[in-house]
Amino acid sequence: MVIKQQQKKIVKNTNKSDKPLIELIGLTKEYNGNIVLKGINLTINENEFVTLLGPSGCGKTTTLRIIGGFEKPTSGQVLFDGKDIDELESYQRPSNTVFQKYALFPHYNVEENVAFGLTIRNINNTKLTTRIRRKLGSKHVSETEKVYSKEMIAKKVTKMLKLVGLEGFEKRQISSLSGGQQQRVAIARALINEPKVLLLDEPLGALDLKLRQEMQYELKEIQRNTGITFIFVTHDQEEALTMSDKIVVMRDGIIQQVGTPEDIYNEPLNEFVANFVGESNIIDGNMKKDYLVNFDGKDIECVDRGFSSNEQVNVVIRPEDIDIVPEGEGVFDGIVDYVIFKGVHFEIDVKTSNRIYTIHTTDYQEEGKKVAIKFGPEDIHIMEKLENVSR
Amino acid sequence: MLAVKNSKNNRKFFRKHKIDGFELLATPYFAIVLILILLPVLMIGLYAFLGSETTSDMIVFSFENFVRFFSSKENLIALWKSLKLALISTIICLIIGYPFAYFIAGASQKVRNGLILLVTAPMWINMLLRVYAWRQIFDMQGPLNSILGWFGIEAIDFLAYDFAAIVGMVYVYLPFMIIPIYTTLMKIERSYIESALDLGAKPKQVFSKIILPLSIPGVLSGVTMVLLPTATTLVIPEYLSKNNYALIGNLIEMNFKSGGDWGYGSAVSLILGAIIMILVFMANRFDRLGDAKEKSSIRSVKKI
Repeated sequence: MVIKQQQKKIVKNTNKSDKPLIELIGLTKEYNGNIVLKGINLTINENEFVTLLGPSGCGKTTTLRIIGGFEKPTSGQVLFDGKDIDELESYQRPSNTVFQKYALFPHYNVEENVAFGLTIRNINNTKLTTRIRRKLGSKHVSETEKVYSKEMIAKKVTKMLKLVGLEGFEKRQISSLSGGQQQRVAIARALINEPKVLLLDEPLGALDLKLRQEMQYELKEIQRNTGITFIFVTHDQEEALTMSDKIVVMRDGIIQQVGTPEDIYNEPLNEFVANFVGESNIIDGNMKKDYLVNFDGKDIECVDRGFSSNEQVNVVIRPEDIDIVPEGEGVFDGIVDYVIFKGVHFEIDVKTSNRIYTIHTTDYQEEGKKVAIKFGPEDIHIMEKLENVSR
Repeated sequence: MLAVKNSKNNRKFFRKHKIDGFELLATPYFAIVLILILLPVLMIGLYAFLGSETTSDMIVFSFENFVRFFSSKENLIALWKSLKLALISTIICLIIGYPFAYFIAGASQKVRNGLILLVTAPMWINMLLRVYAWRQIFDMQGPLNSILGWFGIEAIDFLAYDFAAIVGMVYVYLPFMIIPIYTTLMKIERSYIESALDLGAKPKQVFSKIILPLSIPGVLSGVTMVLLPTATTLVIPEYLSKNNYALIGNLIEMNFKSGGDWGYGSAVSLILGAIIMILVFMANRFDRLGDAKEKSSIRSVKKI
């Protein structure tokens, strides 16, 4: 429920184009015989907020580091605007990164940190632009060609700090900033180069809940205002659902599903996605025919079709889609087994003859009460069984 | 600066969680410090200020030992030579040590361990022995001159020049330069380097803008650890120069050993000590400049 409300608050990008900016083709990565990426194929469009979501060790950070040029893929290609950028070092790539632990330079103050990219660019201007022009085509040069005067750099720094809400912090030392402030400086420092892509590696991980939620909206806001493509790595499904235009769910070096937050949440492709993104009741079922599934001993109407007759399937019912009704009036009868207060809602376990269903509801039920659970055909989501991938 | 912060936190913890009677274990150490270090220093101070008219009945204080030192041109030359040799050795140590430390820090774990072992291994052997070995090498009939002889170069009396002493000093004290620099280099977070690269800095610029400034504390402690012993070393010039000039260490030794003037020797060592303290103080000040800047800004932080 909470998640859905938050999603509604954010108006989706309307100026988003479907032009591919980054294409990952068959990326694999091996560390000392350990395969962490097993063939990643992904297209990221211009102006998109893409989130790589998955548990730790799923390869999401490695994917990001390959895009940023910090790691070389064992095989596969990274295309930027249709051109292979494999041989470009990280300092030549049109992307900038916000690191997990911010990585602000401790011997520089806020202003010097934020200005770092421009200062360096001024020094390298001529050489760098010719290289980029050669590698990526001359349309990327216009912005990078500029040599900035000191006043212009100071102006840009002020503008960036304003963007991240840190006006007047220019002369502060890094060690005097709080975690949230350091986070903002890191974002400003990465954005000042006006990259085509901003890579963010779990940037909100170290912040407390309230600040994290605040930063989620701010990041989304910054992304919309700047029109820069964001690639965001997180293991936090709520973060992913709140901010993204596109979520890429990964596991064990394989992409499980790519889709909008709504797709991922409402139409998970497999058990893993259903479990990882939000809570689910996942039930073994048998697809009798189109629009009819059998589970827990009952034939139940659904909206899914296209499965073969009598195919074994997983039935997903989200906890907030189940209603508790008086005994005899629902699909299955049961007893209220356990009630936990979660703040916005109650989490109630109802024990039926076959299994325990988890239900999220704002109405309190007494433990031990005889009730029934009810859900409609549109609340049921049928997906193929995940056979090959071990849990 | 992080280290400063940590040490503060640790101090708080140590003070709060005292272990009863733990301090008593330090008693022998303090006794040794008191008897073997503090007392002799006081004695040196006392001797240095004793006048020549002092008899067993009467103590006369005077500055005459100091006046005597500074009025002798030879002494001042010895002092200058000592400091010059120390400075040259320190600079050479830095020039050799920094790149070497950088190389070690960049090597793989295995190579790194091997190199660290290589750097520290000579310290397991008595210094006197090592210096004496160099004397053999530099000898008129030594291997170095033999090799030069093959190329038709006449034998050189290396020991007649500063060169031999400087080589000895660099050789003996190089590890004290390499290790602290290596340690600070290793402590620099990889993500600093990566984010500098990410922001467009080329590898050379990453070095000059990030790695070098962040390794300055290591350089300073290396410089201190080499400068101090080289300025006062006795053994190295004793064996690796033909005593055609006196260094300050030898001057002090002479006055204590051969029944000489203890008061005068004490005064000389006090002067040398004072000069070194000034040098160290200056180095530390230089190091703290950054910290001080930071502290003042912390004080001005207003919560938002």
